Amino acid sequence: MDEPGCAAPPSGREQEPQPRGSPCGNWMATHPKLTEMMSLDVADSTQVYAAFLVYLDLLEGKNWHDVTCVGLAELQLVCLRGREREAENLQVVVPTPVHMSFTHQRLREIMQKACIPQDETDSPLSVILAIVESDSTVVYYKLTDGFIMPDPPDDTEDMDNKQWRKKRRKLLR
Amino acid sequence: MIRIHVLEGAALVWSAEDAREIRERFRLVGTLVGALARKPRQNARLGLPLQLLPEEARLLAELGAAVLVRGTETQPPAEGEEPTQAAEVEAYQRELEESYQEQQRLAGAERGALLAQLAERIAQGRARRREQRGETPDTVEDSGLLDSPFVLPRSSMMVQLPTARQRPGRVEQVDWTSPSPDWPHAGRPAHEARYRVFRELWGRGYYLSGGSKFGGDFLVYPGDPLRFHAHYIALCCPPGAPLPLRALVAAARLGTGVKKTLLLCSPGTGGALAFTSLQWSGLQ
Repeated sequence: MDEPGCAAPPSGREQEPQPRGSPCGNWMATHPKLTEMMSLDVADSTQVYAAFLVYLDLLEGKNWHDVTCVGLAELQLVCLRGREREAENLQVVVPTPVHMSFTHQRLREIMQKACIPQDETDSPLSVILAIVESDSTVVYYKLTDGFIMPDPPDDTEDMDNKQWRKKRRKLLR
Repeated sequence: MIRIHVLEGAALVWSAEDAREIRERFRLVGTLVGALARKPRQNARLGLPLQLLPEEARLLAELGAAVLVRGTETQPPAEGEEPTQAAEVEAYQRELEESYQEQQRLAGAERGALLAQLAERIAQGRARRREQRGETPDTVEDSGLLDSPFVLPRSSMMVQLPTARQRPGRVEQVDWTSPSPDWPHAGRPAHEARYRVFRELWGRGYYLSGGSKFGGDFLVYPGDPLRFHAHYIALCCPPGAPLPLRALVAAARLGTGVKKTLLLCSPGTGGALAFTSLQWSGLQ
């Protein structure tokens, strides 16, 4: 069975069937960061693999700085901490495979335990939930305690004139 | 005392004054669901009755500002009641006939007055026509202005359609604390959970409306919905109920698409409610 990207294992080694969502290629399996996350021994392999993919995405895809991994034993999760830009504060990213489901209670527990206590204590607890699909797509959603107002709608002057006129005509009809 | 008529779980307010008071004094919006008598075949603008969410009706009942009532005339008339119904129908027909006669009399009088005003002109016009036709001008014309007795066509008659009941119907009070066929919500865990969230958000000064258009339980407005867009889509999560991540992503994405924050609400520790805001992170 030839899988692209995987070197064929030497005949002498045992083959354990790998669970879905785990690395099967040699280069991933021996990546130092992945082995570091595994060695924290706090979560199952699917969550660790998800954390690894998010780690790569943050550093290579989103150009974050100072990304480190943290094991949270009581939550059985590996989290990441990093800065979106050079001078910003650290943010917490909680990776999770898509098939896991959470209760609202557990989400709040994660927020309370994973969040970094900021210097200004009045800023609300906030984490970024990184949801990893089986095809390695990651979507990031921000969870914050309390009421966060949405962004205001766009300024109407930015709208294309033609669109604006069409809307006015429809309104006045 | 505001009267809320309940019918199979729906709470309806039929009085315009009550509907206004509910909005102005109690900050509850509801939805108008009735057809307008003059413009029936559209639903851009609807009229009374005002339908309230079960949570809104319960809030008003709890505050002591409203009673829940149920009509008792929906059964077919019992044996002895049929003659009274027939008598009522007869009375109505009589009123209709009297109104018709009155309208005919008034219309006839008005027509007569109008013709009298224009009598000269009419006579002149007739004279001219007679000359054209070559008849002798001596022919005595009746002042046959009213050639035939005036009859008001039945189809032109004006009929009043009452939009409020002329006499109060028979109603009985419904206990909102115990479930019944017309008010089944009492005691249901889903309703209780939603009501707790509703009461808390209302208590904080927000205006609330139904959230089914956006896949949520409530829409939360900072002011009257006629003046503001909603800020939050509130989703009530019962404690211990798992939220599949795909559903969470779908809800959050919808919220971002319509410029609202998704608000997860559930009972927290110590009896208070916990609120978590969910927004798109903005990471490209």
